[in-house]
Formats: sequence, C-alpha cells, structure tokens
Amino acid sequence: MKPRWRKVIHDLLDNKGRTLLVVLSIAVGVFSIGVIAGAYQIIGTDLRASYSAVKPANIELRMAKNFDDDLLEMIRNRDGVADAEARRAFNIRVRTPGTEKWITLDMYVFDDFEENSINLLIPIEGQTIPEKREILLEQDVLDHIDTGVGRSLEFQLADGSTKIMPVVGIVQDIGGSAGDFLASPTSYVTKDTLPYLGQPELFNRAVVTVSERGDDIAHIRDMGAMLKDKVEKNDNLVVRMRFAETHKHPLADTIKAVLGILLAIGVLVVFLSSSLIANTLSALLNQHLRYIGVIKLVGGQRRQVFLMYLTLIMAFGVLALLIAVPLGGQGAYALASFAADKLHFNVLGYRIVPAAFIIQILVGLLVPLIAGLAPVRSGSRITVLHALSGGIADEEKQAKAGKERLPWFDWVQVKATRLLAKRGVHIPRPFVISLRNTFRRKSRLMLTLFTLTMGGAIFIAVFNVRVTLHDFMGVIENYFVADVTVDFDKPYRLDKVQQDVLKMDGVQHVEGWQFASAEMLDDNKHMIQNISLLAPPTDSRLVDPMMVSGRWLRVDDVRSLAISEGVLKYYPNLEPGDSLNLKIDGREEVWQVVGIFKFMDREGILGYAPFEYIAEINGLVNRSASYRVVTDRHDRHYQDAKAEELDKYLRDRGYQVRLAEAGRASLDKALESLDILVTLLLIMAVLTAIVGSMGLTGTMGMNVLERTREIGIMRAIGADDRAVMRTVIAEGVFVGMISFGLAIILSIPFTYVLASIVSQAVFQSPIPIIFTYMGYAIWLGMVLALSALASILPARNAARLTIREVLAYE
Amino acid sequence: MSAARLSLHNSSNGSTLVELLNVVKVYSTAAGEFTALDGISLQAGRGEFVGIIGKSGAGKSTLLNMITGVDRLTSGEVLVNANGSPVSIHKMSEDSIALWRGKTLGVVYQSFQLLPMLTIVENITLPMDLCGRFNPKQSRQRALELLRLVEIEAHADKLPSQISGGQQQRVAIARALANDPPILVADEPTGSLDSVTAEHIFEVFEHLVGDLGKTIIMVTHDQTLAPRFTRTLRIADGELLQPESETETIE
Amino acid sequence: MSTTHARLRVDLSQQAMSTPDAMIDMHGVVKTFRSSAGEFTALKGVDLTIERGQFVSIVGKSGSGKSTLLNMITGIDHPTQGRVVIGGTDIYTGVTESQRSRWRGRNLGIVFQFFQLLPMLTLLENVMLSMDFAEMYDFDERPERALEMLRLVGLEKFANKLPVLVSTGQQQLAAIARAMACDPPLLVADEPTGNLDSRSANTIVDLFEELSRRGKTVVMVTHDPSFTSRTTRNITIADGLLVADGNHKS
Repeated sequence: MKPRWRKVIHDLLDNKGRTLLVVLSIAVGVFSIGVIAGAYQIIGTDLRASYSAVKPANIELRMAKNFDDDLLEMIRNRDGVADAEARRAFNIRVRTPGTEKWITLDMYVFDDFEENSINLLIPIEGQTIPEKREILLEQDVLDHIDTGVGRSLEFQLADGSTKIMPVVGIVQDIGGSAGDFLASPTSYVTKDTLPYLGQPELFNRAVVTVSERGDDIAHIRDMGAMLKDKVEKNDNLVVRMRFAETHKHPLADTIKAVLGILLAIGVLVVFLSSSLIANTLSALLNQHLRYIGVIKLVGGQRRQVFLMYLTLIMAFGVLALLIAVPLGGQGAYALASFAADKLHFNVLGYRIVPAAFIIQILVGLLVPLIAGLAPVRSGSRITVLHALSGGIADEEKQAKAGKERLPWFDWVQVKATRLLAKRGVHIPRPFVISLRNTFRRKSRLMLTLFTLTMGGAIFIAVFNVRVTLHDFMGVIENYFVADVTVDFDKPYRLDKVQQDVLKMDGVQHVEGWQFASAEMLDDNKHMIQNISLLAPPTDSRLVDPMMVSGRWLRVDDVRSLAISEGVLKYYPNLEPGDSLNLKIDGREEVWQVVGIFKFMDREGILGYAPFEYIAEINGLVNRSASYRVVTDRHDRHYQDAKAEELDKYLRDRGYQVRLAEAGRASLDKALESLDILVTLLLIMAVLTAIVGSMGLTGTMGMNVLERTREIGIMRAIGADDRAVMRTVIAEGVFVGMISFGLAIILSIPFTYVLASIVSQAVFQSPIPIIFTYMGYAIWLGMVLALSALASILPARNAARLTIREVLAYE
Repeated sequence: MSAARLSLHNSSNGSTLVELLNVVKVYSTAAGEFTALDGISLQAGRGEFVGIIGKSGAGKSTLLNMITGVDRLTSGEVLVNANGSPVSIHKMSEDSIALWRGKTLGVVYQSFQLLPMLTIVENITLPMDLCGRFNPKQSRQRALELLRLVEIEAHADKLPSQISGGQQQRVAIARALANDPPILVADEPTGSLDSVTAEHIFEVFEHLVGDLGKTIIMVTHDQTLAPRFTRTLRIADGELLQPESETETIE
Repeated sequence: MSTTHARLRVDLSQQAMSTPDAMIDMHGVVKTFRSSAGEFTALKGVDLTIERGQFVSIVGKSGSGKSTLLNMITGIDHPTQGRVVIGGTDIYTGVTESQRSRWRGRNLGIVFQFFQLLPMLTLLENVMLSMDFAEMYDFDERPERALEMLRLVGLEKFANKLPVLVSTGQQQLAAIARAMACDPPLLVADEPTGNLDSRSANTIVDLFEELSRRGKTVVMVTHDPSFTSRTTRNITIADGLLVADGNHKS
C-alpha cells in the first residue's frame, strides 16, 4: 500500500476516541434517518397491503332499527355494490369467571363466518369460525382481560343474568377497528348464538364494498348517500355512516403526518451531527498542520493532501454506515411493528427498504463530506512555512509577544472582570480561567452551542407540546364532565332515574341526555355530511365548552345549535346567527347556529341542541336512555368504582343497564394514544440531545488537548487533580448553561411550530399552545448533568497528564 | 558505506546549481517592518558543501526557506539549475514548488519532522509516492537501501518514537534523499543532538558530498564546524559578512 | 531594580529558625528513562545538599541532565532511585503527583524558560492564581499581595494586561512575581534568562540576588557564564554526574 494511504489508515486507528466520536456522530444521524425513512416506507406499504388484504368495507351503515336478510339483499343488489354483509353489533359485559372486574366488549355477529368476504378476520390462534355458543376474541381483548383459547368467559346480559361461553379463537380484525382509537375491544359470535345472549336474530349494521372506483372517496360517499336513501325508503333509519377507501387505511394521513414530523427532526439530527463533524474535523486538521507541512515539504501537492483527508472523511462515513445501517434497519422495523401493534395492522416481515438504504448511504457519505470540505480545503492550502512554524520560522514567532491591541472580545472580558473587582466582586482565578477558556475558540463554541441548543430547544418544545395536547384534551374533557356515564337498553323516566340514583352514596347530580343524528344539507337540499346532535339539559353543568365565537345554548332556544369548529370545513363562511339546513328524523328543517365551539374534528362533526326539542323528535319527552352522573370525587379510580357500583345498584332495581362507564374512560384512551406520539417525539428529542452532548464532549476533549501546556503550568504552580478537573468541568458546565439560556428562547418558536404541526395531524384543527416549566426544569437538569459528564472524561485526561509530558522540554 | 547498488546520481560537475540574486525578505509585524534578509547573493556549485554560520536571529533560517521555496521572498531571485536549465523557483505556484522540491531538493530540519504515525520505511517511501518517481515495489526496495546508507536499516519497520534522536535524524536524511535530489538543505541538523551523535550525522553529510557528489547547504550556529565545509559563509543581521569568501576545500 | 523591596513581606523567621537543616537534600538520585528506543540514564547517582539562603547555579551542556536534576527538585518528574528531601519533606515517598502539585504550590516557586503565563489571565490574575491554588492568604488579601509582587518586579503598570501585550522579558518577570506570590522558601528557575536580551537577563539575576539576600534559596539552571559568577555556589553537571561544585562567596 502506498504510504499516503497508510497514513490515512493510521489517522483512523491511532486516535480511537476521536474516530469513535466522529463515527458515532455520523452514525446517530444516519441511524435516525434510517429508522424514520425505513419505518415510513414499511408502514406505508404494509398498512396499505394488510389493510386492503382484509377486503375492508367501503361503507358502513349503522341503522337505528333492526333489519333482516331482505334489506341486505336489497343493498347487495344495487348497482355499483360489489358485496354487502350484515352484522349485529351490541355491547356486552364480560369477565373471567371467578374474578370481580367486568369489562365491556363490542360484540359483532356475523351472518355466516364461512362466507365472510368483507372485513376479513385474520387467524392468530385457534379457530376462525365459531360454532353456536362459542366466541372469537380480537387479540386486543387480551390486553384487557386474562383469558385465552380453551378458557371460558362469563357474560352479563341486560336482564342481569349471566351466560358462559368458551373462547375458541383469537383473531385480528384490521378492517373493523381501523380508524377508531376509542373503540372498545371486539368479539365475534354466530347468528344462532344471539338468542342465548338475549338478543333478536336480526341485524343493525351493514358493511358494503363497492364494485368500482374503490379508491375514490367521493364516489364512495355518493354510493353511501344513495344506499342511505334506499334504506330509509325501506322504513329504516341510518344513524351513522363511515366511508373508507379500499387501499387506504383511514389513519394513513395522520400516520404520514406524524412520521413527517419525526423525519423533520431526523433531518435536524443529521444537520446537528454534521456541525459536530465539522468541529471535530477542523480540530483534527489543526492538529495535523505540522504533518501537512511535512508532506508538502517532501513533495506533496495540495490535491494529494486534499484527497488524503477526504479519504479519511469517507472512511469515517463508511464506518458509521457499518454501524448505523443495520441498526437503522432494525429500528425501522421495530418502529413499524410498534405502530402496527397500536394501529391494528400487520407488518409483512423484516426487510431492507432500498430507499431508506440509499438515503442512509447518501447521508452517511455526503454529510461528513460537506461538513469536512471547508476544513479540509483550508487545511490542504496551508503553506509549509505556516504549518511548520515554530520549527523553522523563529523570527516570525518572536512577533507574538508585545502585541499592541487585544481582540475586542478579550478586552471586554478583562474589562468586565476589572469592573466587577472594583465593585468588590472577585471571581476566583481558576473560575476566570474556565470562563475565558470558553470563548477562546469561538467558531468551535458556536457549533457546540448550536447542537446543544437545538437539542435542548426540541427537548423543551416536546414537553410543551405534550402539555398543550393534554391541556387540549382537558378542554375536550369539559364536554364530558360527568364522572359516570350510564346507558340503558331502553329509556326510563328522568325523575325516576334521578330519584333512584341520587339515593346512592357519593352521587351529587344526575342528568339525562338525548342524542340524535342529522344530515347537514347544502342549498340544493343534498346531504353534505352527518352531524351528531347531543342534547344535554339546557342548564347542564356537565358541559364547559370552549367557544370560538358566538354563545352556548340558552333555555329559550328551540331550533338552535352550537356547532363544532369542524363543521366549518363544509360551510367555510358559517357564522353565529346564520341558518343551517338539517334533515332530522326524515324532515328538513332550518336551524339557527348560535355559536361555534372547539372540538377534535376527528371525533366527529358535533352539534349541541336543546334537550326538549330533541326529546320531542325522539319521542322521549321526560324520558332518556342515557344519563350523566356526578359523584363527590373525580379521579379515574373512584369513577371506575362508582360505575361498577351504579351498575349493580341499578340492575338490582330492575333497570336494563347496557353500560356504566367512568367518564374519563374514553378520554384516557385518547390520551394514551397521544402519549405514544409524544414518546416518539421525545425519543427524537433525546437523540438530538445525545448529539448535542457528544458535540460538547468532543469540544471539551479538543480544548483540553490544545491546552495541555497550560494545564502543565497550572500543575507547576500548585494545582492538584481536583483543581485541574474543576477548571475543565466548570467550562463544560458554563457552555451547557449558555446553551440552556439560548434553548429557552429557541424553544418558543419550536413549540409553536411543533404543536401546530402535531395538532393539525391529530386534531386537524389548531389548538391553543401551553408552556410548562417541566421541560425547562428537566432540560436544565439534563444539560447540567450532560455537560458535567461530557467534561469529566477530558478533565480526567487533563488531570492525568504529568507535567514533564506537558511542558515537553526541548 | 556502500552506495554501489543504490542509484544516487553523482551530480558533481562543478557548475552552478543554486544561485541567489539580491534576495530581500521583509516581514511585516504589528511592531512594524522587519528586514530578515537584506540583499543576499550567493552561488553554490555542484558537489559543494556550503556552511552558512550565524547566530540565532541572523536570518539564516529565512535564507534557507528562500532556497527551499517554503517562504516567499520580497524581492530578488532564486535560480536552481538541477537539470540543465535554471528554474526561478519563486515564479512557480505553491503546488509546483512542492512537486519541484520533492524531486530536486531534500530538506533536513533540526527537529527531524518525521510523521509519527508512519514507520521509518514508510516515512521514506512517502516522498517517492507523492512525486510518483518510483512504483510501490521499487519504493520499498529503494527506501531500505537508503536506510542502509545511513546505517539504520535494522529499524526499518519501527515507528519514529521507537528510535533515538540521532537515529531519527538519519531517517530524515534518508527521506531527504528519497527522490534522489541533487541538493540537500539542512537547518541545524545536529542542533538537538549530543556531540557524539552530532559527529556521526555530520559524517553522513560529508559522505554524501564526498562520495556521492551531492550538493549540501547547511546552516548552523556552531563555529567549530566551519573548517569542515568546502565553503563557509557567515551571516549576521540579514547580510553575508564575507560574500563568496573561499575557504579551504577539504578534498 | 525597583526600590520597593522593603514592602515585600518575606517571612524570614522560618528560615532563621531552621538554618541547620538543608533546603535540598538529594541522596543517590538515579533517573533512567525507558523507551522503546532503549534505556537512557540521565542522572547516574547524584548526591547534593543545598543550604537555606544559597543562590546556586547549575550549569551543563544540553543533554547533561541538568533539567532532569531540576525536575527532581521540583517534583515534576520522579527519580528511579534515591531520596529527595526538600525543606524536611521527602517528596517522593508515598506521595501522589496530585499531592506533589499541592505541595509545590505552597513550598516552591518555579520559573521556566518558555511559556510561563496562562494567556487568558492578566498578569495580576496569573500571580493571584498560584495563591488561589495554594489557598494561601485570605481571598480578599490576594489582589493586594499580587500587586505588591508585580511592583517588586516593576510591572505594576501592566498588572491588568494580558500576557500577549507585554514583552517576553516582562512575561519572565511576571513569572517570577508569580513564583514568589506564596512566599515559598525555595525558588527554582530553568534557564530563566535563556530567551531574553542581556538587559532583561541582568534585571532577573539582580532580582534573584536580592531574594537570596533576603533568605530565599534560589536554584537556577543556566548556560550563561556571566551569571554563574554572581551566584554563591556553582554546580556543574555532565553526563548525569556532578563534576564540579564551587563556592564563590560564602
């Protein structure tokens, strides 16, 4: 091998710490890009593949009344319908025999499991086709209850009686649960099991696939409207419809948006690691000046020197790729699997994603190349004289003492110390050394501060985003203030329920609510979208809305409506006071919008309407099937206990309770899924913080290396190990503190940007931004710890130097 | 010392090899201008062993830097006639000087200036590699022969840190000869060595001049070496004291 | 020399009381350097006693072992064999390098040939630094004492300048001020004038003479014969052995 390449190899291997630092800093960037690009690709294709593989329904029609095969036949025979299946869906309470805790399952009844061709069930364990009085469980159920194939479950019917059925299989239902974070876990039985569970052998739901243009959501909506029309002409009522494309998971856009945010942070990590690389490489070139001088002295030309160091950089990149590419692939798969688990789809197996692979290689080679180009260029341009100065340019070196002017920054520092001293503030000199050392390598300091500050600002911003999301969920919670929600299978008189429930210990308040579904119409009386109408008593204490404009409902309101912000998507110019055409209970009516409130758009288009009017429409004057209960304590635990208690209490009094649930139950679930997102963001933030602290470690290492002679002087005049280490660590911590100050400022715009992107992706609406001291406090602790840690190693090295080595007499 | 198998050209034919014409070097510093060389003219013929003696600060290192092209002159001209036609080195670009220097001029410094990460033999093959004079196979062979010439072939595969200062200086001399240049330039080559070692190194230089016909220009502050050069020049305050004064030739 | 010697608070009582014991006592000191290039013995068994208050010069060629000898006295390096007792303390037996640094700060002033001062501190701060490390004098007293030291070497005007703004000779004087800051009984200097013009060099030797007269022990390595005549004792070292030891004025 040619000696110049020999030198490159030695440069790579002789200083392993430095090589490791550079390689790791490249690797962190390559890794994070690899994970996210890979996951993006895997999730994208596998979500699509595993979703479309189960033949997902394009249209789901939920009917108000039960129906039989005739109606299904009618739907199936419409033009443009490929297939249709009927389902019966109801809630049922279940527990493992011998245990106390009941949970609520969504029970789906298939007409014929063998003929199932829409929303296919994927076998996980045991059977996929249950016999009479046997049950299949969606795998999610196992997270909530201790059971398994071959074991039995105890079911509680509306009348309070219990039934036992064996679990014969665990399945995965990708189509059925897609797009609904808040859905209960599901289970499946045959139609002939229905009488056993006290249910009629009739259906209340239809799932439909279209025969063409299955990826045209507008066409699917048109088909849905047409089917609804037909169903309603057949004397049934469609209360809710859901539409989905054949090849696109309902949450695909949200997932892509979230991955997009992660990708942006990943790109930032690469960017930060590149500044770390630039820092290390310019220090390396600095240390190598003498060698470059020698190479040029013996005939080396600029291009040769340039190529040697460029090769060194490429070698760093290749080493980083060797570490980061396999890890990134694994990480991508792990992230995709994690998402798959949460979103109920399947990953098609581990594989190398070519696009991610190529991106990683490009990042791993190009980023260090670009970062190193400037230092290598200037390094290779150095003249022999300059490079060897000290050895040969004695005369010139003499000029160093006796300078007339100081750089302004040094002057300011000295001046500031003097001013303080005049006011009686004397800073101990070892600390003065730390402070002034901090600013000696200004461009290096800048790059270090940049990486550390960015890491910190993102870290803090993620915490702010977290409270922002939680706070907004708190806003949403204000629409569901009740501690326990009780739904009955049939309506009961308001005063009777109130009388009974209020007798129970700890219950402070009860109110009955009404619900209705309406269609919003355009000027030509065509349906635009369904709207769910909630009707609490007008004086309800259980809704604390966050108004965007207008007002809330008043007692004297009749056909008045407060709408969620999401409605504006369909009526962009709608303002309080405007009228809105609704089709409700088959009649077209003109309602007045009195106010617009904030809500999560994803969870639907909502309107609040006066109780009395809706009660009249529902034919339930003074009666309701749904009640909200306020108890004397509001924590989740107490709510759960009270729900349990209420359930038993009401059943004992002969009520047919369908569901009694803690008020926070569904909210907590939503928070849980938000926290997953926050966790992913936090992982990225920690990665940036790691890059930042690696930058600091590198900088402190280089600083110490360049100041060995000064450390020798310090030792010679009486500095012991601790004094030397203190000086170095104080400098590191000081850099950390500066970056903390900058991160505080930078975190503000970061919070705004990150929060608005996340809220757009998750809620599809902007949300108010909240700041928390938490992120600042944690980052302060972290940056102190990181900067101290980052300087301990260099400080120890500094303390280990013996003076003889350091002062190297010649 | 056997140089029989080694291709070191005997370049001795008496003609002028290096010529300095009224060379001036002025440094500008914060404290003002400082004239390091004040109109130096000198010639060195093939096969000469020229000693330039002066105190520190006299300008002798600067003078050497003018000849090696490491530093730029303020005015004047340096002509080197290595292969028939004189080259004015200060009219070349930095890169061309580097390549030219690699082929024409070996430099030896007081502080050896070996690359610590390369073995002894690699330090010597490096200039051959950079100037593309010899292919890798020839390079190693030639490097080993050069090491034999300076009598440290036993240490060929050691690192510079593993050998003594005197040995390192021998390596530096071998490296200076790597591309078989006609001229060797040495800046206090024995300055950091004890007297016995220094004597050995000096003998190597004498051998190169006497037996191989190399031209050597050496600067030193050591007055006692004066009689051993074929020609001695004295420099003080940037000027030659006895320009072109011929002293006794050893041979 | 400035006329402010009187203001220098040199603690003479300690020296006066313990005159009988030597300041420096070296017994059979051998120093062998081992490297892959082989073994090299720089000191081949040195016995040396220096009394308190002596002004000693050590001369020798480069490579003779004089810097190594100095390193044995200052505790910067450690001997392969032998004992070094400074001011009654055996500085090598059971003492870590870190502890030696601390000891040095309190008991010894060192002046080097090159690179004396920390470039980021002003001259005044450089002088105060050694007091900070040694934890000598009250914190609030240190600036005043440091200024006094600079006045002693005639640099009080430059107290608040960074080292780059003063000449090499002035840096050397500031280094002496720093070496004296903790009022050590022993001052060790390695070629302190090697880098200076003759006027600055003279100033420094004057200063050493004055310090020696005030009871300090001064040990100086030099190669300049014009200074050896001014010391009270002149030791010559060659090839790792003391070859001559002459008292000029006792």
